[in-house]
Amino acid sequence: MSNAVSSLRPLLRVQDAVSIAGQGLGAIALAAIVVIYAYEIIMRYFIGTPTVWASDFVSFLLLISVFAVLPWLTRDGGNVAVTLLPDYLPPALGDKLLRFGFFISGLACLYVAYIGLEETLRLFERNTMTLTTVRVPRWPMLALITLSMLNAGLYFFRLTFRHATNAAGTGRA
Amino acid sequence: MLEGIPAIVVGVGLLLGLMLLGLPVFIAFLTVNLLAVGLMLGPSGYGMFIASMFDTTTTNSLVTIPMFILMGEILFRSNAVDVLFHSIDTIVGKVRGRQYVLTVLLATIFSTLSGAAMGVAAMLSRSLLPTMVARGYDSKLAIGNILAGASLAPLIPPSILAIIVGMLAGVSISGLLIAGILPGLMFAVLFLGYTFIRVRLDPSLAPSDEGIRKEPSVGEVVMALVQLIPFSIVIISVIGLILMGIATPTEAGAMGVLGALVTAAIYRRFSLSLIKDSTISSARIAAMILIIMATSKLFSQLLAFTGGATALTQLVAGLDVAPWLMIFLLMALPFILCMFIDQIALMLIVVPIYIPILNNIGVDPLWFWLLFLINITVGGMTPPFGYTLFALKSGWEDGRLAEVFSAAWPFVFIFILGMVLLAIFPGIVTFLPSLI
Repeated sequence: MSNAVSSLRPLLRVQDAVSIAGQGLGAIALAAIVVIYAYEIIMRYFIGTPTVWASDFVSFLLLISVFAVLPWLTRDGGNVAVTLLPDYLPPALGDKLLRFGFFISGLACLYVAYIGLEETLRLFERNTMTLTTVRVPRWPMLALITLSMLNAGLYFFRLTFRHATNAAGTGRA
Repeated sequence: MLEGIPAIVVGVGLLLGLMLLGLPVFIAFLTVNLLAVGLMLGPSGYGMFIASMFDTTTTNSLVTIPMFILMGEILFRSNAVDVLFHSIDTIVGKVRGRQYVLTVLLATIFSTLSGAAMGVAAMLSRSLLPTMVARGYDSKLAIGNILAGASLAPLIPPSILAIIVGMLAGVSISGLLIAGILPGLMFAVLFLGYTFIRVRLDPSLAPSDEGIRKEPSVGEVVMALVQLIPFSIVIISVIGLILMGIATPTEAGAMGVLGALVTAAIYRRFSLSLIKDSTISSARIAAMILIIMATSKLFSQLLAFTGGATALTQLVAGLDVAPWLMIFLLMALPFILCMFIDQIALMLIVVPIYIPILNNIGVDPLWFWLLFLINITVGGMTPPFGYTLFALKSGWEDGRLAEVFSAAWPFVFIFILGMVLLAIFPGIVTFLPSLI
């Protein structure tokens, strides 16, 4: 078992590096929203030439921010959860229940990632565009949702199998 | 396939069960949605699953939420909230529990103008709440005031929900907007009255005034007012730009972020690390809230698809009961449904069914729809599904959701008490509209 864990360690480090970079990307996306809106207001009210792209790009950036951040948030146990029952149970049993919840969460995320992959490939083949003023392909954003759910699912499995003493997440109720 | 009311019972029951097991809230929604789509539509329906997540997270109006969170984060990290508290302490003087008044005021003003009760709840739980707790204020009372203040938004002009109800129900929009003013003030008085009574009965709920040894001099008051000037840049960036018609609420949120950065610079806290830390923290809080919204949207759509909400509404509407009991039931239904159905989606289902019933029982439509508005907004702060509760918890790192839930209940009951008062004294609603 310990050998298996050791051999996985480089992969886990890569996963962490990708996820923490994702969190940085999510933060940059938020900062970009502020800059774009400030630019839009200046262009509209001081120069009189509003942009046609600002509103659409801001929407895309919101999606990027949410799904880029989600895996690292999951890794930190940051998702909002109501852990009244696990808290009231004896610690060992509560811990098992939490791990069971993480396992179910991992399965759900992986299944959504599978659905997302199918949908992404379908949109890629059809070259489906967004229904926005500035039209862009939908598939890259669906690919991000897919990757995010896959990565979050893997983190849920890591939370399931990590050492018993670390079982709680920061988002516990 | 489950349809109608059994679909609601099974769907909500399963959702509650999964949440009770300790699953993250978004996973509980995700799992129920996966099962429901699989059972009702089969694999061919899974496309709408991803499409729903895509549509929610690219909804432009939701950008207001991270913008307000970022604004709060910068204010929190730049010490602006401490300065604000100190100034209020100096200006208001020895009124025990005075910062609760500030909490209700800020929550109401920001929420009314932004239309984003969730964003404001998250912003204040990130900025105001930790400072209040650190100063000895009771966390539950502070949380309740934030939730209640943020939930007053639909009553106070300019209310987007009032405009939508007015359009759907065919009642005067201006009348509905004006009708909300007196009830809004009444609720503010009830919240503060409750808060001050609690503080009076239990002084430990607010810090003692040992720090304020004497009445402040004129110079100290003037200095406190001067210290408030940088903070007012944020208020002006948000409120001023919306009122002048220069920015939409979403854009005003972004300008509020710039205002907060200017404030940070004035307080000599501006730095690259402030920007970096604030944006990372805000992105995490926003993701916590928006992933729940992204997954719950489909749950709401599935409830509508199964005809559950419509069947329940028709069941209540078809009952042969006394008019007062009918009004009570017509009010109770949106109160319950709005805990887990999107407010606007609920309005689209319920309003057309309610209109002929209201004509039959002959109540003042303005009065009824205003009570209806209050009902659906209280659903957002009622445990265990209210969105605003999750938003507040997302911003409050040190707290527990159970504490947020128990903090919300007294204020939910105050809302119910207020609605009873409005039912007994309808003039509170109809007086101002009667003047126009």
